[in-house]
Amino acid sequence: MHSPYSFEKKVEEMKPSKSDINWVIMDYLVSEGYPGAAEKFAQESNLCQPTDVEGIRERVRVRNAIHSGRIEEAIGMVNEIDPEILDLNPQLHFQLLQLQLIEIIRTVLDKQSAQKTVAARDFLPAITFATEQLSPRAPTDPRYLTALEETMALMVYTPEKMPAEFKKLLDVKLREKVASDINKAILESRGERTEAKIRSLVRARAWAETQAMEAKITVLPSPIRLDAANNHANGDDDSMSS
Amino acid sequence: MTSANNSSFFPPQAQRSYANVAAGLHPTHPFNTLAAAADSVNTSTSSLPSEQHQYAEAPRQRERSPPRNMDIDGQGQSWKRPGSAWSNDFGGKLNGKIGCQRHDEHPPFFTPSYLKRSRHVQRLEKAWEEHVSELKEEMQRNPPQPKQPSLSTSSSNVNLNKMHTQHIHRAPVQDVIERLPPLTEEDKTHPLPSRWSDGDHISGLEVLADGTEVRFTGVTKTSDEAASVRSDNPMPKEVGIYYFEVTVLSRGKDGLIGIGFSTRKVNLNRLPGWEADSWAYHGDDGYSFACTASGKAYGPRYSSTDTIGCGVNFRTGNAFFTKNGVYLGVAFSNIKTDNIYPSVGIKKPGEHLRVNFGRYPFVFDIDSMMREEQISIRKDLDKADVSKLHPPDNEDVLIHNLIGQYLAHEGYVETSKAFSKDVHEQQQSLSSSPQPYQAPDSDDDIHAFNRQKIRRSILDGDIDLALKFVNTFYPRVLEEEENRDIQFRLRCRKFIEMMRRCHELSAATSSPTTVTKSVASLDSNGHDSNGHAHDEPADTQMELDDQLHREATSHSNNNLDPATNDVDMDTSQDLPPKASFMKHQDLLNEVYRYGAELRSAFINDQRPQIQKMLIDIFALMAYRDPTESVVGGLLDPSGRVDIAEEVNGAILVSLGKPPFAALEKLCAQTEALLDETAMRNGGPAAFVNIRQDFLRG
Repeated sequence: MHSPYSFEKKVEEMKPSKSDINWVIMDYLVSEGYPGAAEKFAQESNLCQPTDVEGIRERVRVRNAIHSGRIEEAIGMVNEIDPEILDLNPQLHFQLLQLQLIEIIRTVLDKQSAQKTVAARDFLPAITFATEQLSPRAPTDPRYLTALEETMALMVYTPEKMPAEFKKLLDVKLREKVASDINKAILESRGERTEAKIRSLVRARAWAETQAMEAKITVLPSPIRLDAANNHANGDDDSMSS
Repeated sequence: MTSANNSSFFPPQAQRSYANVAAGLHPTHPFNTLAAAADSVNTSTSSLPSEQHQYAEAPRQRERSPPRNMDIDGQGQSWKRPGSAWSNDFGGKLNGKIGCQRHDEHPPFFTPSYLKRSRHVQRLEKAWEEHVSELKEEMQRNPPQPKQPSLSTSSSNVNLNKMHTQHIHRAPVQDVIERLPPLTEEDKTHPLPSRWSDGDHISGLEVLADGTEVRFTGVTKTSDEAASVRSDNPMPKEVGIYYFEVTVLSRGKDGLIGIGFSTRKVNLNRLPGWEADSWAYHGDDGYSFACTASGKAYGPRYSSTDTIGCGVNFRTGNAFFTKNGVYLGVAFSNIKTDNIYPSVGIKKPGEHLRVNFGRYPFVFDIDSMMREEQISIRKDLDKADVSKLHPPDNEDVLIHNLIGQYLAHEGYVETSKAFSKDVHEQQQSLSSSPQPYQAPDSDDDIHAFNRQKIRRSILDGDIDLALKFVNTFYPRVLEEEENRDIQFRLRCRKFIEMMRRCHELSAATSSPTTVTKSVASLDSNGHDSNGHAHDEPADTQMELDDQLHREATSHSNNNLDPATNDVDMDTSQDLPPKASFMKHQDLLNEVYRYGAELRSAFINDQRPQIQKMLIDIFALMAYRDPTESVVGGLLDPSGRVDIAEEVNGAILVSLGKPPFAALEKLCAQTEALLDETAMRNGGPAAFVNIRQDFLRG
């Protein structure tokens, strides 16, 4: 049986090479769209300059447009990159249109909470958009129909009384999800890997721990520590760096 | 010894492999001079400019007598080393002094094709190589006595001089291995089965051809008496799936053959399958037997020329067989027994089998089965929930944090800032009221800047500048005993960089049209010359230069040779061809001088890796165009990365910081966990290889 000490020692012996880790970092910066960091990292670590920095920036512009709710603009940009992307991914196209509908409704809802009242005709642009853009697609896939119905239901509730399953449609997380899917689709259209390797690497750590527990291995590694020198990532609260 | 008369049983691959050995032969030479070292490298390359042969050729012995036991050892490529490495160190001392009678018991390491990605096998190979270099070290310290009765007995004595030419690249190592305690059965490294055991078989069964063949030679009195054999090592669970193949060379009269596996408890005078703790597929009836004398109909019968494969999947607990490359389905399930050995049993005169434990390609496409297993496990792995790793981080936040921490920890100052800014932009794009980006207060770690400068100069190939920085900012670090190797490699790198300049200059001289280009590229040393190394404020730079100047003059630093510095600094000037030629000569002289200095500094360090590195870098001098030589890879600028990171790591430790960033630790923990788990149950963890699956494209 291994003592904790010898397990920690074993961990030290398994240290990966810096060039492997640097590769993983660069892979992430490129595929998930951090062009400034990718350029600097290439300089500082002597890795090859990412071949297509403009390509990264292009994907970042699409991502930012979706994040900030400028969906029509994002669709335009995607079609400019490669008109086939949305044709080949009808579900993704539908999600973008759904997002666009949500944004139209959101403006009305915002107005509603500001003025405490709303006229039925304020929803007219939303209904027009739904009937012209989304309802023709709905019959092709039952999931589309459900999504469309849920989205339309947003107009029925006042923001205070809205059930959680509808409220999540208004959450920015949905934008993040669609933006990430679009990013993958663009990468795929260019014949590149769609997911950064670091994601699997991190999952492998969680998976390995589960496997070890299933095998009744009693000595488990110390938890991940992210001490100090870490001001990154969406102004995370301090509790996680302890 | 059974080696005298079995050449007709060599598998066809084995016979081919003799050619590999013959091609890799190296002449003997004393390992005394630089010239000899360089010379040995020359001989292993095919095309060389004629003037390379100015080095005196040592007298060579080129006789090649017919091979003896060459078949098994023939896969020289599995060493993955240039052949010269072996002969350099030993040739002079050992040749002709040790016989090779017993090589065949210690064939070199091999990796079955389906286990190429196996962490376990990769580690076994590494351990083997380390073991071998320890033995080499041992040999150098205690050269064997010329007259050792135990080693010079047989009639082969007469032929020793002829024989050693074939074995020269490995003979000493192989021979030493025998005199070390043999690997015990409980060996924690869990090696792969490599041959039939000489000890673990019964009389009436003859083990031939370096343990790859068995033949029935006895007589059986009763109907259930038989003769079985097991492999030297049990199947290690850590590989996930273990597979081997047996070819029936001759079925004898009745084809009473059992192929399968058993534990060591099982009596060897019965066919495997009939006894408890043994499982097998029999040729005479095609039945499968699981620990009982009454079998079940399983597959077709098999006899002469058929190749039968046997595999165990430790994840599922299933065992299967193949016949001539065709999968026959699961034969046994729920196999949970530890330490099972490949085993075959025969019982009639004339029955003769040959095994392949993976030294040669398999008939069945086991590689695909392995790949499918790996793919399905990867799918499972990608569903893992990471939210418990560092609560409350979800996957995205955790990854941001890991990357941010890595960049800061490693001193990638600029990247760290740029990443912070990129992340901020991304977050703000989601917000309804975006905030402009504000760089965090510059409480920037001075050490991060220092480390950044040191890394930059190494990556630019300016080792002198890096040494200056290190000795200025962290004067003691490289003097520490545990960092002596880093200092060594840094100085080797300096030598290599000098050779690079030499080569660039000579290339420039010989073809004037490329002068400007080549010389200009010296400045950047293969790196994009976007001037980032010099974009710091001018006053800081001047201050530092002052500081460095004081340092360099006050310090009596053995690493800094003024003459060399001058040469380094001048190389970027544009020079007419004549002057370039002069420069080249000067530079070459400097390289020799520095090489001699380096050599004398480390002459007493007898560790093989140190001596090999010295030999390799000095060999660079032997070539007109070293980039095309076998050691040309040393000149690649990519070699700077590792040494830069090692220096950085040493400085971090000296500052009392952990040498690991969180991301590195996460990697290492994953690997260690997978290891423990695979060793325990041979389950899914056995099929994942961190480095190959996640750290490469």
